[in-house]
Amino acid sequence: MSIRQINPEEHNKNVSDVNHVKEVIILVVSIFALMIMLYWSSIFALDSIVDKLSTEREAQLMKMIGASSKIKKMNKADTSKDNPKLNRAKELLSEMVELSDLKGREFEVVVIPGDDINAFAIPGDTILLVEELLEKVESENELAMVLGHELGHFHHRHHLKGMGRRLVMGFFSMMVFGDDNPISKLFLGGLDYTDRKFNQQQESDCDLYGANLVAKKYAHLGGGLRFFEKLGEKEGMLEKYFSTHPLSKDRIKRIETEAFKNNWELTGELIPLGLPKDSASSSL
Amino acid sequence: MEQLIIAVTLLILGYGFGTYYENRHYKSILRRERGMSKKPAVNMKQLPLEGREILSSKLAIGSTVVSVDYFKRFLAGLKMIFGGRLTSYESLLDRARREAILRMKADAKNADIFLNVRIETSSISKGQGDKSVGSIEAVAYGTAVKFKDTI
Amino acid sequence: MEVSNLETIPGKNIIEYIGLVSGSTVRAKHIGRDIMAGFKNIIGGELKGYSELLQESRNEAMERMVAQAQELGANAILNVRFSTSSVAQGAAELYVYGTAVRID
Repeated sequence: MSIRQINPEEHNKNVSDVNHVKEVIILVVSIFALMIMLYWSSIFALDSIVDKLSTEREAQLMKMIGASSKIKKMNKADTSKDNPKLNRAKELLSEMVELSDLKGREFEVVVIPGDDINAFAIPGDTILLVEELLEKVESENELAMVLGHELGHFHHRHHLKGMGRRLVMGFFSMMVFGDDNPISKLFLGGLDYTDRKFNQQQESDCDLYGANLVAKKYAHLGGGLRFFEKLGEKEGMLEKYFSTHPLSKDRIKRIETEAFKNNWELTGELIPLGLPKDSASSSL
Repeated sequence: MEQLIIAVTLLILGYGFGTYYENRHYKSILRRERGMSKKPAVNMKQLPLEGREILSSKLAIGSTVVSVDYFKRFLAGLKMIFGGRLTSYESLLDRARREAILRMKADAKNADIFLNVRIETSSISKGQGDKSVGSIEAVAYGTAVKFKDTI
Repeated sequence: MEVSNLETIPGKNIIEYIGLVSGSTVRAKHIGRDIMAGFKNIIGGELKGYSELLQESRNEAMERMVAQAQELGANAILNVRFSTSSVAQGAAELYVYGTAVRID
């Protein structure tokens, strides 16, 4: 019997000879591709389901989600403060709803304090107008464009879609990575950017919906485009990539292309706000 | 965005320093292993010692705690999604065990052979989430035997 | 290559002791298996994915140990012991070691 005097460990096979950097790059790229594919396909599926829902189902869902009538009550108290512009906006909205495929639904308009030109469509068939917007609006046509745009959000069911998106996003980041992980931060950052792009797409769709309604009502788009020009005065290049809304000049361009296709007039007689209703009606 | 920058910085730092320290550690392990090769370790309880007399014996223990760097942890995290060999942890385990054996051998400087050697590993400081997982303790222990007259 | 967890191989003589040889591996299953195992945890029963994983890991560790012993000119590994560690959650870390010897 003898004992050999060697160092066995020098021959050990316990460490694989691989290039870790290469491995990381391949893994990161494939995970990104996979995740983004999965994410978009589930978003796509969700969106098409939402589009196929019946109106009753949609109302049911919105109720479930908790689009309560709280805001409507708030509005009731608010109307006592007599605002002719707001009253006109309400009339205008119901006229436009009649013209649209949202016919039969009851929409509310609420004015909220603030000093930016903005409006929001919120769950529960309610449109919020910022005070400053009402202040700056010069003609009925402009206001109609804004309301039409917001109605577009209801038509495209963007609230439900947004909800689905957040659900999918939450599911993904939770299931796969957990919160506290550099991979999920990387991944979520990427999705955030694509999501903004997608939002811009949504806004653009609503613009077209609004323009369509305005054209139906007044037979021309004058004033509506003027409103976007007003919005565009404050924008810089940065907004193109980081804003949830497209640049105003791009919005105008897209509406103009659509107008050209449908033979809508781009200019026409503007109806000042506050005129009695009977002299203003020129609907088709 | 800042979090992303921090994560990438940590990855680069982890890779740079991690690789440097690992190479250094391996060099030192190899050097010491060659020096110790006259004192083999086996995990047999007894050897047919054929007349050689045992002068003394004692329990020798060596242990170490080694941690894996941020980059390798990140790689392992990615690899867990697809499955397969987590190659980035292999060197960690290998280093820890070899270091433990070396320390055990150093614990009994004038021994001739180590019998019934056992190697155990456990992970310590396992905190919450993925953060503190990735350090390992290796312990090696065995009976160090000294012969009356060396071979 | 004879691998045994005895200290001798019955009927054979040990000619030469070479020293400790070891094989280790860290392996994981893909995430789908982990999720399935999570569900299976509710109803109990064998976690096939993990059984497979451990089997694979053990085999790989053994292969590595045997390869090392072969390079050293051994033809048997005695007193083989398995052990595990847990650095990464959800991964199987197998370690196997034994004494490489030459028998007649």
